[in-house]
Amino acid sequence: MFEPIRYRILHRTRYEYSSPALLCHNTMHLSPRELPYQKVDRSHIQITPTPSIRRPRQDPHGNRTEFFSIESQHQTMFVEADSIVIRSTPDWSHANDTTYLSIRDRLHSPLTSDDRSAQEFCFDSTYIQSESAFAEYAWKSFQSDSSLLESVTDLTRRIFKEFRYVPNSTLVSTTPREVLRSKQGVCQDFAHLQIACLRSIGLAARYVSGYLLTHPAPGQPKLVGADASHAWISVYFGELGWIDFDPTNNAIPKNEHITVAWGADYADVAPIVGLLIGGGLTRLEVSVDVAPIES
Amino acid sequence: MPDQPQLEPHPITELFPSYRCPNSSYDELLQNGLVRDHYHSLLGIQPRLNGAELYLRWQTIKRSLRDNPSASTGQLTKTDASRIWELDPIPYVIPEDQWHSLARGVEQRVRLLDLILRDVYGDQKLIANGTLPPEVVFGTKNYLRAMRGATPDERIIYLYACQVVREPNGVWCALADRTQGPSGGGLAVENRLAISRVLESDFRSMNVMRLASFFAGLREQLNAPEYFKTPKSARNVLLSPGVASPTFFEDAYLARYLGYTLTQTSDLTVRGGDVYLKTLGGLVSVDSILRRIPDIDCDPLELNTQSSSGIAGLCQAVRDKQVRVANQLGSGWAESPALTALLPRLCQSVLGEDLLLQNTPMHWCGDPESLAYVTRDIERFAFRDAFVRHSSSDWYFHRASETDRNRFLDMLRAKPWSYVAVEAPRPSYSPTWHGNRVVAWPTVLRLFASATKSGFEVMPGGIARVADREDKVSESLIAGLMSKDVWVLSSNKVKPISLLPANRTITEVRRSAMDLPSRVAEHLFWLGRGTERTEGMARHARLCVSQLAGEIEPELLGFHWQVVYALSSSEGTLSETPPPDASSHVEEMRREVLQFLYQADRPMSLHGAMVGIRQNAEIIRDRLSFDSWQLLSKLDMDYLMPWVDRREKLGDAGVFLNQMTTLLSAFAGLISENMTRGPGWLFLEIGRRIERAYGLIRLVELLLVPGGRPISPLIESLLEICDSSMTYRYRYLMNYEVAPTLDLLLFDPSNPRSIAFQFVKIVENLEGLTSASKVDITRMRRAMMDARGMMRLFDADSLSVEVTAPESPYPRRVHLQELLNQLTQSLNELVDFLSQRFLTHTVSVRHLEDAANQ
Repeated sequence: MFEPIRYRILHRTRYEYSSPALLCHNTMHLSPRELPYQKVDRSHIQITPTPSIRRPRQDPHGNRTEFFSIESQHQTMFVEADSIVIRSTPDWSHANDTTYLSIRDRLHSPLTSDDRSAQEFCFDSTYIQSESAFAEYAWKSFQSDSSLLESVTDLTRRIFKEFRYVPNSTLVSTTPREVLRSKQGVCQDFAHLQIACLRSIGLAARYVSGYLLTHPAPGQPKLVGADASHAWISVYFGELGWIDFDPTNNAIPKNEHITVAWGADYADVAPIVGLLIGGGLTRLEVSVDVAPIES
Repeated sequence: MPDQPQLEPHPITELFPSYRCPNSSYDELLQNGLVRDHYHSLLGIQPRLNGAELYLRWQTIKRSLRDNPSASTGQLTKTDASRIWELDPIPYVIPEDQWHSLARGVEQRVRLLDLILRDVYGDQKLIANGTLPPEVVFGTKNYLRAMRGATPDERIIYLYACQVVREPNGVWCALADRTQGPSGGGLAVENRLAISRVLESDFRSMNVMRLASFFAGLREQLNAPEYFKTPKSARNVLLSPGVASPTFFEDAYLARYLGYTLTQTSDLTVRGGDVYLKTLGGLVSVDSILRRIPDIDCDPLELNTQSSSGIAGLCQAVRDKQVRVANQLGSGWAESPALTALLPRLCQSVLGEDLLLQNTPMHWCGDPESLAYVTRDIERFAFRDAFVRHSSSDWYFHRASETDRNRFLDMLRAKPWSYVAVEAPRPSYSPTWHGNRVVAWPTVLRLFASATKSGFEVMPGGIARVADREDKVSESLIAGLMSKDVWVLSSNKVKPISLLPANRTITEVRRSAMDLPSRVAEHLFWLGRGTERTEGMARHARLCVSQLAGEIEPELLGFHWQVVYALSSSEGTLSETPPPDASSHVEEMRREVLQFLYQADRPMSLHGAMVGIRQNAEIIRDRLSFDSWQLLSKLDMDYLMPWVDRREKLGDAGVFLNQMTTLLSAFAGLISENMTRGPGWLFLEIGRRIERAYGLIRLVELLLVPGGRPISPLIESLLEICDSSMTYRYRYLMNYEVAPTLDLLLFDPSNPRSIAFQFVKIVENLEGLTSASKVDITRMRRAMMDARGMMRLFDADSLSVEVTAPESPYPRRVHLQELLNQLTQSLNELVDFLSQRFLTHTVSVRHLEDAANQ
C-alpha cells in the first residue's frame, strides 16, 4: 500500500480581466521540489501569452520558484504546470522515541547547525502571529515527557475533529485567531492554526504546499479538474528531520501527498502572486488533476 | 596649529554670561573654567555676532537658507522641515587627534555591519556557529527573506550614518546606526556652504577639513561599472519618499549635488528585468538607485505584499544585477536595536577586534545574563522593541502603574528577545547661539561614512543637533531644534576644494530634455493650469469686491448678483437668476464672496486654489528657478492676509487680490522670459493655455448665453475680468454690445486673452512636442487646427442672436452655446490625449487575485 506511486499533475490557472492589462510581474511556486522520498521526472510550465522574461531560481527555502513578466497588452493569462512525480512514503518509524521536551530544549539552546536552521520556523511570520490562546489550545495535547509524535498526532486529530471543513468560508488573509474562534476553514487555515499552536509552545513548524490524490465516492467516476492544491504542515524532530502532518485529513502524509514547496507560511509559497497594471476586474479559474500513471 | 592667534584664557563668565553646562555632563567648551584649545579661535564669536557686520551677514544667510531649498511653506512639512534647516552659527569643533579615534570607531562599525549583513543575506555562518541568535534575524520583519542570496559577495552598505553622543567622561558612544537610507548628508553640505560664508576668516584660519571628496567617493562607487554583467549607461537616480517626507528638500538638494535625477517609486518601472525611468521621451534605463525609502516599500511583489506601491519586480532586477540599489534592499535590518546591543560581542567574533565606538548603555534581553542584569535594577531602564528603530515608543518602567508593570513583566518573560533595555543617553553640552546669547545646549552628532573601493571612508564633519533639553535630542535626525556644522580641525594646511562637483568627464552637449520624468511633466501641466485658474479667480474676485465693498447703485445690484454667481456657481449658494429685490440681499452676496476667498476646505475657493499651487510647486521644487519659487511661495493666505479678523471685511480683500494678480502675472512673465523652451515649459504652457480657454468659455457661457435682459453692465464686468476692457474701450468707446465683445474675446487672434489666441498657441506648442518626442501627435494637432477652423464658420453677429426655445421661458444665444460646447469638447479631447500619451504612465496597480488553496 505504501509503494512509490508515479503521478501526473496538471495545475491550470486562468485569469481573465475585464479590461486590457498592460504589464504583469509575477512569481510562482508551481514546480515540485526534489526530496529523498520524492523524485521529480518532469516539471514544465507553459505560460500564455509568452512572457518577456522568465527567471527560474531556488528561493531561500530551497523551493523551485520563478519570476516572469508579461509586457504585451493582454486580457487573459493562462498558466499550466505539468509535472510527473514519483512519490514514496517517508520512513518516520523511529520518531516515537523523541520527546517534546528534548526538541523544545534543543530549539532553545541549539546543539547542531540543523537545530539552528530549524529555529527559523519558530517565529512569527506574515500570516501567523503567536498568542497565548494557541498555546492554551496546544497544551491539551502535550505533556513535558510525552512523545512528540503522539502529541502532534493528537493535536492533528483534535483540529480535524473540532474544526469544520467549509470551502470558501475564509480568505487568504484570514488569521489563525479568527479560525480558532469560528472553528471552521480550509486546509490552509488548519495548517496555519496548527503551526501557530506548535510555535507558541516552542517548536519549529513550517507550512507545506502541494497536492493530494483524491478518491471519488464509491461507484462515481473521478471528475477531471476536481482536485485542488492542498496544504499541510511539517514539524522539526531533531536528528530525524522534519515530519509532516495533515490536520485537514487527520493523517501523516505518505505516498498520496505530493510536496511542491515549504516556507514559514502561505506567503512564502503561494502558487502565483502577481502585480498587475490596468486590467480592471479579474475572474480566476483554477483546476488541478492528480492522476496516478503507469511507470 | 601654527596660524592660530595665541589667546590668553578669557574670564569666560564675562564673554558668555548665559553659558552654563550642568556639572554632571561633559562641557565641550570649557575645562576647569577655561576654554578648551580648539574653541579658542571662535571665542570672539559672541561679540562679533552681536556686532553689526557679522549679525547682518548671518541674517542674510539664514534668510537665503530659508528661501532656498528648505522653504518653510509646505503645509505638510512646515514644522519638521524648518526645524531641520534651522542652523546655529557656532560650529561644533573637534580637534584632529580626537577626530581620528572617533572616525576609526565609525569606520569600524560600518565595516562590521556590512560584514554581518553580507552574512545574514548569504550563507548565515554567524547563525550556524551560534554567534548571532536566530531570533534577532528571523524574529523580525526587518529581515527580508526574499533578498537572501540575492547578490553574493557584493557590499550591502554604501552610505551609513551613526548617531553619537559624548558621555560625561568625555568618551563618545553610539546611540544608533543608520543603514537603511540615512538622511543628513545633503544637509551637512548645505550647512557647510552657509557657515563658511559667514565665518569665512575663521574657517580658513582654523584649517577645517573639507567635505567635498566624500561625495565624490560615493559617486564613484555608485558609478563603478564592474558591478554590472552588461555595460550600462550610468544613469543614476535618487529615490525619495516624496514631498510628504520631512527630508524631501534634502533629497532634492542631494540629488542636484550628485547630479542624480530626483525620483519617486512611481517614476520607475521594471521591463524585461531591467529598471527604467519613465520620461516624456520614453523609458530610460537606470543603473544605480540611491535609496531614501525603507527597503520594505520598494517591491510590492516580493517585499510587502500588503501594499501596491513601490517598484514591482525590483528584487528580481537586483538579483539579475540589472540595477544596483544603495543601500542594498534588506540593509534596514541592521538598524534593529537588538543587533546594535550585540555589536560588542559580534565585533570580537567577526573582526577579532574590540568595538572602538561603544554603544550608550543598552542590553538585549534575549541574552539570559543581560536579562538577569536588567531585571535586578529594572527601574533604571526604558524598554524598546528590539526591532523598532525609534526611541519614540520607549516604555519607562518607573513611570508605569502597578498593573502595567506586571503586564509588562509577563510579556518580558514570554518573549525576552523582543526587548532591548536602554539607559537614557547623557549628551555633552556645546555653545549655541540662542536669543542673541551664547547658551550651553545638549548635543548629538550625526556622522557619515560612504563606500570606497576597498572599504569605507568617514566624512570629516557631519551634523550636530542641539536642543534646549536633553530628551529633545535623540537617534533621529529630526529630533532637536537646530543643526550645527561640525568642524574637524587639521594640523596641516587644508587645500581649498570646491564643494560644487568638479567636471571630470566631458559633458555631452544636449539641447532637448525629453528625459524629463513624466510625473514632473504632469505636475508642471497642473501648475500651469493652477496658476492660470487662480489668476482668473483673483481677477474675478477683485471685481466682485470693488462692486460690493463700497457704495452700490441699487439698479446695478441685479448685474452684480450675476457676476458673483459666476464666481462660484457650482459650489455657491446663490441662485442663477437674481431675486427681484436684489438690494435686500447685499449681505448674502458679500458673504458668498468672502466664502469664496477664505474657505479653505472648498476646492473652488481662492484659498484652496493657492494651496493646490503650492503643493504642486513644492513637488517639483527642484525644477523651478529660484525666482519662480520665491513668487509661488508667497501665494499663501497666511502671508497675503495674515490678520484673521480682517478676513471678515470685504473691503480689506482688495489689497491682497491686487498683490496676487501681480504675483501671478510676474510668474507668467518669468516663465515666458526665463524658462528654457524644453518639454517642461511646453507642458506648463499648454496647461496655462487650456485653462485660460476653459475659463473664458465658462464666463461667456454664464454671462452672455442667457438673453432677454439688458446686458451692458455684464459685458463691462466680463471685459474687466478678462483684462480686455482697455482694448474694447479703445476700439468701441463705451458702447457695450454682444457682437464686438464676442469678436474681441473669441475670434481676435491678436488678443492674448481670446480663445483664438489660445488655440494658436496650443497648436504651436504641440508642434514643439512633436519635434521633441517620439509620440505621434499629428492627429491631435490636426484636431486642434480643425477646432480653430470650425470657429471661422461662426461670426460674431450671428452668435449674438437670441432664440426662445418652445420649452424655455427665456431666450438664449443658442448658437453661441453650440460653439462653446464644441470648443469645450475639443479641449477635453486634448486633455485626454495628453494624459494618455504623456502623463499618466501609472494606471491602477494592484495584486492579482490570490488562488488560495481550498
